[in-house]
Amino acid sequence: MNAINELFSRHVSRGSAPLGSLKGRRLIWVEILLSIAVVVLPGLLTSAYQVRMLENIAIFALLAIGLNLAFGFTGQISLGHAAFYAVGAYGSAILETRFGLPAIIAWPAAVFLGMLLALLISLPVMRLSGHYLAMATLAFGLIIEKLLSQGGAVTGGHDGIIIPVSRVMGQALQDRFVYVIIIVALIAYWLLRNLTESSVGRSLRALRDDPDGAASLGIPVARYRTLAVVVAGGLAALAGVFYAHVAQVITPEVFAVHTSIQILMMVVIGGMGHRLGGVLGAIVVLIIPELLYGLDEYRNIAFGALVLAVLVFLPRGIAGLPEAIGSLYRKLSSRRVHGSDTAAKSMTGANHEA
Amino acid sequence: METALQLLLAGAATGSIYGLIALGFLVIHHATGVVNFAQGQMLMVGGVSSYIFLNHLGISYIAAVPMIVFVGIVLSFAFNHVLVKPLVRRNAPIYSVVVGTIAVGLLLEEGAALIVGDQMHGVPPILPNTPIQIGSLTVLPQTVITVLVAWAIVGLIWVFFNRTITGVSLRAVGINRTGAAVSGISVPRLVAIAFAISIVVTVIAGMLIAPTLGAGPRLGFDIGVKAFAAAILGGFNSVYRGMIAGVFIGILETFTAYYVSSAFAPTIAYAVLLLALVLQPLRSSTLRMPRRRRKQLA
Repeated sequence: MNAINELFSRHVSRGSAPLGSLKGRRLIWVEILLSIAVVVLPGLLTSAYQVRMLENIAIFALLAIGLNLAFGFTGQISLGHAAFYAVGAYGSAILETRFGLPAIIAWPAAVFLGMLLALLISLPVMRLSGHYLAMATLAFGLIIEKLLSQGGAVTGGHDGIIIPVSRVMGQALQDRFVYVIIIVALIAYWLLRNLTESSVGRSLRALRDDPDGAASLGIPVARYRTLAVVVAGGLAALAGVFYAHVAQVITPEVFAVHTSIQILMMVVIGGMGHRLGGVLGAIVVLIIPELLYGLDEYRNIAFGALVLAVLVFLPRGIAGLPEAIGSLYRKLSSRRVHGSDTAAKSMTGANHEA
Repeated sequence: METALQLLLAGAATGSIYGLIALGFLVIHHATGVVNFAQGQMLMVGGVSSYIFLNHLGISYIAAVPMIVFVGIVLSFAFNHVLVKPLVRRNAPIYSVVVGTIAVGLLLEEGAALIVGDQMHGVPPILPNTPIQIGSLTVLPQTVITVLVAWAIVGLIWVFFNRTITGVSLRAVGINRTGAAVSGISVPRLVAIAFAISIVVTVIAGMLIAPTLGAGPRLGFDIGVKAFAAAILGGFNSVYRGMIAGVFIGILETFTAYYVSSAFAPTIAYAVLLLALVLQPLRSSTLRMPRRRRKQLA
């Protein structure tokens, strides 16, 4: 009898499917309110430094939500994401300065180039997985980085390219650029959020966890993987376009492997496969070094330790923090129940039953 | 012709280092299925600690070698217990292990930068740098020592895996963990041994390369990627094939640096890695006939 009670109570506490969707419906209002707050935010910031920080966060959020689609949802790890970022930045800059194209043509062209590169690289690399995929993308990122610094007159080598921003996109737009970036990042967030909540998102998660099983259910595994990588590449290129026009000068070091690793860390810290994961990761990874400013040279080491701690103690990242606390609380309270006499245990069982 | 021979020797020396680290990758991967992305940084730990021992503490090479081995063992113990065991116990997905080893690499790099500063330091060679003349060739003793020691280590590891009971058990763990445990092999102990071997070999490689390249916190990353290229090119299942592939990549790199452009030399190694990875499934499944001991470490 007791055993049955226990079995039943465990079953109830685990079957959280309807509860989850209810939570999801409540979360959407939080998301809408936060979106509005973020759009208003630049008007409230006073210093140029804070605005620059916000722009940076929005750019990296674009990168991280793209990578979260490819990596967190679809399981395609990438250590070369900065390559697509670089294609966006260099593509738009080269088209504008060397060919004199207007921004309205150069920007979509740069994003298209990023998507094209993602498509091309995904074809041979798609067969790999796990460690091999990680190393292949790493090698790809390193090659692109080298090509940028050795590109001679085209990429400007180590000196990079200076972009005459006010001429290219006009003073009026330049003054309001932060709004453009934030609104685009928000649109990307909502589009990806809806995509991952839909049947496509469920298919992506299914093929991440079991490619063969997903294929046997009729999910086009290869096509969806390519789709995720191409969308991520396009978003990264878009982020690159924005970066180039915010920073006004681009050099190869910005797009080095360390940036790829940083983006990956954002996804991991924020929460792999969680819709808020990319955004949270970008915020935390960029804000924390500011808070740790007093630590000076210990900053990077503290950051590495943070990543390690999140991996070991919080496998689902910051987005999984409420759940982790909840399960810890449940574990502690159930331990307390187990400690007391069996009558109390059967009572909790009855409670669950009711 | 002389230049070519000279380049061949230099390439063989750096290539032997790549081969040693490829061996490090292989041993850990074989025992646990984990690819250690911090392997390059562990090489750096070897280089930097030999700089500290030789330049700051003023110890001779004979005393420094056991200390370096000790550093390697401590590092392997920490790596195994802080990162790999908790993740493996939780049955974590493979990519969180990848990210974890990257984070360890970051920690090592920043830690080294804190201790010795973010720059390259010179390390004295094992024997004084008086060039040896062989015919018309001039060779530095360090180059010869690097190649000899590297191949001696590979020979020792081969003997270990083929002629000692511990080594054969370790191979058994790699082939079938459960089966090994059932036959009375203590799997955790052997995994710890595998980590120790891999990291000690890597750290010694760092010590060998430090007089040539210098020692600094950012030394390891590139070398790690190139060594992984060697491991993949060697098929990721053989002690000496990875070494041969490492020498091949090293020679390819020095020739590119001399005849094409020194800036593009590392790119060649990365391109080889990309190509080897992409062609790997092809090679192992269709082109090569299945052999009885293909999956084993030999």
